[in-house]
Amino acid sequence: MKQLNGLNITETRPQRSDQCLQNSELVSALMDGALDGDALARALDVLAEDDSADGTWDTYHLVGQAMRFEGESLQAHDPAFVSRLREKLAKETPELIVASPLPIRAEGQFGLKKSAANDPWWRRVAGLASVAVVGVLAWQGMGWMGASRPAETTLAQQSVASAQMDAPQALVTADGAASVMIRDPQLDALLAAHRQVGGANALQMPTGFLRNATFNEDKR
Amino acid sequence: MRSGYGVLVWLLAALVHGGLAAQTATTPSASEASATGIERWLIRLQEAPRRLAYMGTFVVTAGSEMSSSRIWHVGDGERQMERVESLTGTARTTFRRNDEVVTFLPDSRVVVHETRESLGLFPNLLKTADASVTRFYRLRIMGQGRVAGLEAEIVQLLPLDGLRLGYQIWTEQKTGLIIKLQTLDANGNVLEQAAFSELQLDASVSMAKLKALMDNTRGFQVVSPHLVKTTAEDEGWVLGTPIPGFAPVRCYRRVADASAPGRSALQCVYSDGLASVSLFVELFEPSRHARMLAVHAVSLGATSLRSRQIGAWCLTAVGEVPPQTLNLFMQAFERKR
Repeated sequence: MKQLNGLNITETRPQRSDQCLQNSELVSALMDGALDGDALARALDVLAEDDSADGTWDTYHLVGQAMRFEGESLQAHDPAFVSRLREKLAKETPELIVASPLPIRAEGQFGLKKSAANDPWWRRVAGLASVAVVGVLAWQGMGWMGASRPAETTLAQQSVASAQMDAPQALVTADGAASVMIRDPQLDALLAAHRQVGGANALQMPTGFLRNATFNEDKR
Repeated sequence: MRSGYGVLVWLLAALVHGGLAAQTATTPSASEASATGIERWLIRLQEAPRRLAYMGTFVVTAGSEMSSSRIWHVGDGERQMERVESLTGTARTTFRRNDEVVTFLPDSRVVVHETRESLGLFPNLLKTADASVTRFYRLRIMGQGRVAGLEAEIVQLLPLDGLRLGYQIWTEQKTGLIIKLQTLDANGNVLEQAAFSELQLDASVSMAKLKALMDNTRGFQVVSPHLVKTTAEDEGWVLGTPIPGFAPVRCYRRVADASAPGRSALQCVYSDGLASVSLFVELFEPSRHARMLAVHAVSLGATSLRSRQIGAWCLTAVGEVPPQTLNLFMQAFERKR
């Protein structure tokens, strides 16, 4: 901003390439909303008088549009430029692709949870099953995280899911000679649901309740 | 002298042997005779926490897993309140006021609010349960022991058939409070145990303070499971062949949210008074159930689980019973014709 305010475009008459560069910076600053007063007036004059500044204005908008709306068809003066830009963006920003879920072993002591990660319902469960009782809620399909607050849902899922990675849970021992650790949110949810409304016995009070409130499958 | 001693040993052996034989031969009548004993004992068990205040550390081991929690309990004869704070695994605090249960999950800022019917049924539940308990279990006095520094009476409740598990129970001598519970398989192996590792009876636990903590849900999102009462019959299912001793206790439909209408599931609970089995019926979805069916038989401590597909449904049985009992349930539960 200070640099831009220090520019004196009309008086110094710099070389053409310098002029273009300065105009580009001016247009860029204009697009960013960083100009006001005299600088703003000068930028508008430049845009009105200089065809190349006008082109820069279009290009910058196009770049912004391409970065914001990847995949959508872009309106531009120069289709060739658009395709070149797309190619370049495609080459330079591979990290933007959302990381796909880790390949997960279904079984094994150190296996993470197997999840059908494409299924939003299971994504929800994955973040919840660490606590059995909440697993029940997810299992019954309650949208407790609230469809009305998708942004919060996503954040909550991410934070809980990341915690999940550190602390895989639901250890179930398969019966048979060799015991195998299995993790499956579906199994957890059923076990939790059984504890919640099952356990209808004479020992339920108080020992069964204490047992269920104390016991957790997750291992840390 | 030597021969006299030998005769004495022989006599003793004969007496012991005869006693054991008599016990084996008279098992059915013995169980009937001790029915009142079991009832009295169960009632004392249920009554103990109603007027007690205590705090302690509670430890549960199942398979290779161990969990523990800090317990506060207070009962004034009518109301009972409890606070269970987990010391292992995910941080959570569970409060109970009679049959009302509230679980705080500080990590996700969520509170789960439930009403657990099974906790509020006493003494009616006991009245219906004790008939099965006395018909299918026998009470065996094991002697005395010490748990968490307290003198305890030890008894066993042993199943009379192979459809249920056994229990060994330590009750505190003066109050009758359960302070240790082991679940045993048919060979007497311990499948799971829960016990106080430290217990302070007559502790000063304030009901008002517990209430304030339980009701303070500020900053938490409160959620409740949505359960609709129903019966297996109404849902088009029937337990074709009754499983000896197990009676239907309750049946719920868990209602799914609007975004997943197919995800509601049926849960029917059967109990013999000590053990319970939940039968779950869900619409079969390959993406969700294929793996469950692949590992259809699992156990964790005393709890076992079995799954199978019946036509368009996935049926799962979960319970604190031997796996063969779950198999019987799976075979007997069918679509009503």
